[in-house]
Amino acid sequence: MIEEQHLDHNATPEPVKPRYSNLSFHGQGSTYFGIVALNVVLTLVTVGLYYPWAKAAYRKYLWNETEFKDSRFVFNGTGKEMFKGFVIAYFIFIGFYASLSLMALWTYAWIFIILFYILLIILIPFAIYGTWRYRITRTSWRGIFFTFEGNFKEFLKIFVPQLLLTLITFGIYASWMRVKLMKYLFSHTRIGKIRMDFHGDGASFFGINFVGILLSYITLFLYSPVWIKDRVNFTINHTSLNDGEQQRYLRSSLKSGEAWKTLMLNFVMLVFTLGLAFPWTLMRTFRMYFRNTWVPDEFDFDNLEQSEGDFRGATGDEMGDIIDIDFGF
Amino acid sequence: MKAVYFDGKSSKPYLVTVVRSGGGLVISTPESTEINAFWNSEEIRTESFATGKKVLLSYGEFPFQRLELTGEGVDVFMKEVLQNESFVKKYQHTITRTSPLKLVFGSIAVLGLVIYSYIFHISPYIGEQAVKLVPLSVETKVGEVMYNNMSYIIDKDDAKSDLLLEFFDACGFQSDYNIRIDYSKNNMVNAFAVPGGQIVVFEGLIRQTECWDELAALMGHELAHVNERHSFKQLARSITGYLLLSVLTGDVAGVSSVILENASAINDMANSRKHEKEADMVGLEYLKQSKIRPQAMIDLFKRLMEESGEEEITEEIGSSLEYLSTHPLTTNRMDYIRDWIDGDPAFNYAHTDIIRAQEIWLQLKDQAADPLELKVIKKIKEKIKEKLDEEEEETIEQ
Repeated sequence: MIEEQHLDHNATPEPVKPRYSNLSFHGQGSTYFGIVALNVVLTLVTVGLYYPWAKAAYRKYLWNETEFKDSRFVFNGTGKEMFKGFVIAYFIFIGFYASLSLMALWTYAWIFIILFYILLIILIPFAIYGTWRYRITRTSWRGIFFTFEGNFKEFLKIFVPQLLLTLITFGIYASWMRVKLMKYLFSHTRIGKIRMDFHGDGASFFGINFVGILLSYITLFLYSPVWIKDRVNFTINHTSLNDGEQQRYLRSSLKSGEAWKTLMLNFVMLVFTLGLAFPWTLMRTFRMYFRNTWVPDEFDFDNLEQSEGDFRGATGDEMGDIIDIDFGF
Repeated sequence: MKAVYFDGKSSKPYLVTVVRSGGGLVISTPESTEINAFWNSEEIRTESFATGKKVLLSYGEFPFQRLELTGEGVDVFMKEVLQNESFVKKYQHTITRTSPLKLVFGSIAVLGLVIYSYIFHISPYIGEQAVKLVPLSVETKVGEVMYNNMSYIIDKDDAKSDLLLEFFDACGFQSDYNIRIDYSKNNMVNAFAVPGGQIVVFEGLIRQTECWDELAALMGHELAHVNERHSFKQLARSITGYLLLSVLTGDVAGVSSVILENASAINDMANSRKHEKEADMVGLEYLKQSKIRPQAMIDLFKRLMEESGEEEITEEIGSSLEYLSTHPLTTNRMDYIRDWIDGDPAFNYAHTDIIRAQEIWLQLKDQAADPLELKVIKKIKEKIKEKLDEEEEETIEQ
């Protein structure tokens, strides 16, 4: 298998018809359920403090069961690293509820509530940026770590006007905002010299969401799986890889029929097991997404080079450790 | 063992043979000298945690070397490697090799047990312990807020409230709290206690009582709620229960979390019934201290039952109704109170009639009564007069 991957693309001067390899997912519901069981027990015993370690365990499992070209992905993050983000979220949560209860005792406590809402809004860009950065820099494949070269100030310069536009338009602009943020995050992500990029446009994404929401309501949500499929395909089909010599797009082969069958059966499974089937439905969903995600073969995946410096160090990012957090609310 | 090796510098896969020797692994490419590495057993880390035969190990400082092992002999080898790892890592590896059926039933059993003991034992315990740390002044403050929020239904009668407080003092009840009593002009047959010493008695209930000591029994019961900090404990328990469940619901999907929350709510009711029973018992103790007739408490519940029509309901639905109620069934309460009184010789004391309390009750009952009931009151008045006369005679004789 491994030998077959050496593609000799320099030998053909004419552009060849691209070949693709798909990702695959091998996770099993029962194993995931076993992880959930231990996590729940340890979370309860530690009055919730184990939660970041639980999150690390879920991720490690999901990453380890994802395969590309015979090699599994690895999540290199730890509960200890995520504990910081968790403590921040924990205090916000407790602070917020404390102010709510204070409101009953003290008339001016609403000032705190408003402050908390403002704090939450300020935290949104940190959360989006930090979460992406954290996940990307802690992911490796064949020992090679993904690299993120974004700059938080740059990100904020995009984020703030986009958020304002979204607020002014009562959320209509959200589709454009999402595309802009994805463009920024994707285009600053690479593995070896292969850099990601995103080329979706807000208008098409808005169209998908507009039709999706409308038809979902009309069909009493029977259309929702198709809408989800459209969103996934939009994201994947507009994502490109570039190694400095060529640019190729990812492809999604997810069809409405498969999405509908998988997601509807998931729904039925959840209803009939009172939600206990969630490890299985989660695995089914991942399996569906990954086997339909195709990566062009023209890149030299056997010779990706490790970036210099430790993956834990910040590159081109003076905010450094402060935003090296993973919220994942 | 055959394996694929990655040197950490590039993604190039090397097919290698792995031999265990000298407390570690010797890794080498079979037909060339490209790779020749030694991994010390004690520093090998397991990275993978996946189903199937594939195992991923890593070694050294960044950039980490990695090794993907497949095929025969891996599981035996893993046992050795895992000896240095934590319990969690051992568990994680084991579950990828356990049969699904075993795993599912095992998990359900463990989860069920832990969540059950959490909801029914651990979280209530934490809640009640937390209450002990809260000073009386804070509890009183919280109580005031709760009271202010419901004051609109109370419709207080100031003069009669003062009388109730006098009644309370005349009975000789005592508390660390500053007891305040409201007489509500509302017709509900009810009474309740708010944390911090506020008691509210509704006119409807006073109208139901047929003897002064029934009102005393009621006061004893509500005072027990205050002194034992029942409502405050209840509040603390709900909060601790809710806080942890909300952490869990991130993991345990939608419908399950609804079930958990309801289990918690039902447990709150069970707990509330426990508090009611405790208040009955402690209230009875107060009656004993003041030498008031303990059977008055049974009489009180008899009045309540007549009013609520509970007897007919339980006859139809059965006593399973109790599980969904914040109070024990009145018939059960009367039974256990009777058992306590009969079972404890300490309750065989001579009853005192507290005259001032009787007078106040009469006055309140008089003003609260329906015209139809006035006849009853007249009779009672006559009886009391007779008694008073007798007592006077007695004192004269002495």
